[in-house]
Amino acid sequence: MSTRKGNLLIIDDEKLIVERVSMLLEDLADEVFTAYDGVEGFEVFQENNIDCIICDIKMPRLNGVELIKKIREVNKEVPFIFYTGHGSKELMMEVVKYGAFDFLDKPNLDHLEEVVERGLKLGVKGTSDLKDSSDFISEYQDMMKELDEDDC
Amino acid sequence: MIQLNLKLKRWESMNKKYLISDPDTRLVSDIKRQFEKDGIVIEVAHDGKQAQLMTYNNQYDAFLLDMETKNHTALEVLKYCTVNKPGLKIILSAKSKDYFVSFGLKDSDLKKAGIDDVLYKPYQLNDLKKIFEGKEKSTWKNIKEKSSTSNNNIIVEINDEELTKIPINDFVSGKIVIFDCFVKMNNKKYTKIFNQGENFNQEKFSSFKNETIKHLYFFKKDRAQFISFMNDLTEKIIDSEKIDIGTKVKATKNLTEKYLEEVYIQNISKNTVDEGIAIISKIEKLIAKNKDLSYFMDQYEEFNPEDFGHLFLVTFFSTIIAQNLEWGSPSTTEKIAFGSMLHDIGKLKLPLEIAEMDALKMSDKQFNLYKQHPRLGAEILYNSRGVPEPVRQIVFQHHELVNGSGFPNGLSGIKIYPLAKIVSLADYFANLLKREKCKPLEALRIFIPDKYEIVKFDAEIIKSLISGFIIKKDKAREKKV
Repeated sequence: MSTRKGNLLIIDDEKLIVERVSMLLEDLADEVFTAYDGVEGFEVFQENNIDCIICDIKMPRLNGVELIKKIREVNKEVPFIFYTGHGSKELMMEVVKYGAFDFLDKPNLDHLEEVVERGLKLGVKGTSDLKDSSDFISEYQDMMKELDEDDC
Repeated sequence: MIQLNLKLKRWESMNKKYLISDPDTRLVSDIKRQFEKDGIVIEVAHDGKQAQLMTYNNQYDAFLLDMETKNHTALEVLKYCTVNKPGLKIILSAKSKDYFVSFGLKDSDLKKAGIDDVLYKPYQLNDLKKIFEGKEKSTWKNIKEKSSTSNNNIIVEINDEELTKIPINDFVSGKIVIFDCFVKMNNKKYTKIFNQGENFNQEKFSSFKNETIKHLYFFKKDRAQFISFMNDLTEKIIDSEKIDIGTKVKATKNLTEKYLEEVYIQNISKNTVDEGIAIISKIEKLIAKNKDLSYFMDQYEEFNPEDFGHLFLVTFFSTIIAQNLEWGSPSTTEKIAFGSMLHDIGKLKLPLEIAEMDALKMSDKQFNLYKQHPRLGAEILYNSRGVPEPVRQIVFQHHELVNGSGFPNGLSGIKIYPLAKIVSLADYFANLLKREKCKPLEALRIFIPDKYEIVKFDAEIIKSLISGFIIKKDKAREKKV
């Protein structure tokens, strides 16, 4: 079983946010990488083994939607956590097509650690061993037997 | 419904509690010293970050935020509070009016941004006190006691659309009736049985409860009052060791349904988000404190799956699922429950016949229209203040299915927002109960062997739903032994 915590990439054009979030999360990850726009973010992603990404949606050069679309072309699975401000309805409704793991509203930093921890776990574990829920029918039925016993 | 006969204490006499964030320590000491003489509690945040934490962890009647706040600027703190604490009264202070003018901001702009008032330094402490106390948001606590009049039991003519109702057996009151109460005689004719502000008379109330009178009516405009009152009362009911589970569940259900009626009909406002979160905490507490939910599982027929009953059920089931997930947490459960409450809000934009129809019975044309409601719902919420992004995404994605057969985007597997997957299953399950007219356990027995349906949902989430029932049944079994 992997004991890796995973590597985190934080992408935001607001440097203060990148600094704050990095400081808050540095103990959760093996390594924290940063970038200040989507283009730089993609370069850092390609050069390193990234397990989870925290990303703003509105960024210069390449916004969050364009970035996740580009990354999904090379890595279908890495969890994306969007840390967003107001006024980005169209982008937020567009981004879902590419699969976002979670969302947080700026400037709220509460629960960020909890969400990132889950994201890193999923990123490290991967999803290749995910099974169809129909593969678990016998397991569900065993659980149901416990309920049925009461009716006997 | 058992008349609780609670003697509710007059909560308006409880101490007010205010939060202050201002780097001027001398001013803050003066405020603290002056206000605490009057029994007002003043808590002080030393910087913006602490202020955010304190608003998250505590309830305040108002928050005085100075523009010079550092380490999370005043603007950051303000943004945080408007998103996470939309019901909090916020007063900004600044060194002068020119401060905002220099940013091109007028008082009206500040009000739009969620600020209740602005003070310019130097200000008088009395002025601060008046602003703190100000015009309170309408709550039941402001209802003044009036003497009973002989103007009771009169028959009045009221448009049915002006009134809302609750089951008469589920009605509870404190010492003072907080709104005019009616029973229905026939169309548009009602008997007024209580006036707002008069003392509640149990004997008189009981005399109206008979086979033909099933509901108590009150004006829709008083619904917010009802919600505010029941939110406070339900907290006490759930915490009480002496009150039976049936009463607790009914109180929570009625509160949730009335709240949802207000949200779906009146729209979401600054206050309603906070009220909703307070209700969610009660549902969570109800489930967590009462592991034996055999009452609920056996008495399911009483839970009308029509209208807002469905939304309550979805919230209830999704909370059970969330509490049984390995990765579930209080904050996750709160988002899931709130998303559950609002998940069908997009139906408000559909033609009524489609909004009320069973999706399985729709024509292709009707179903195509119906498939718009998640997007429509998300758009409503993007135009509403204080709704967190996770909740919007739940509403947008609650009909996406793991095998890709859902809508509106046909997402599949891991692309679907995990929290939305929970609401998706809870929604399906609540609809199954309605369709099959069966109890929750029977619905599980129908659902689990159905391979066609099982593949639409996440395995972990299905297991959490089943687990939720197992725990409840185990506790019921212990009780019987």
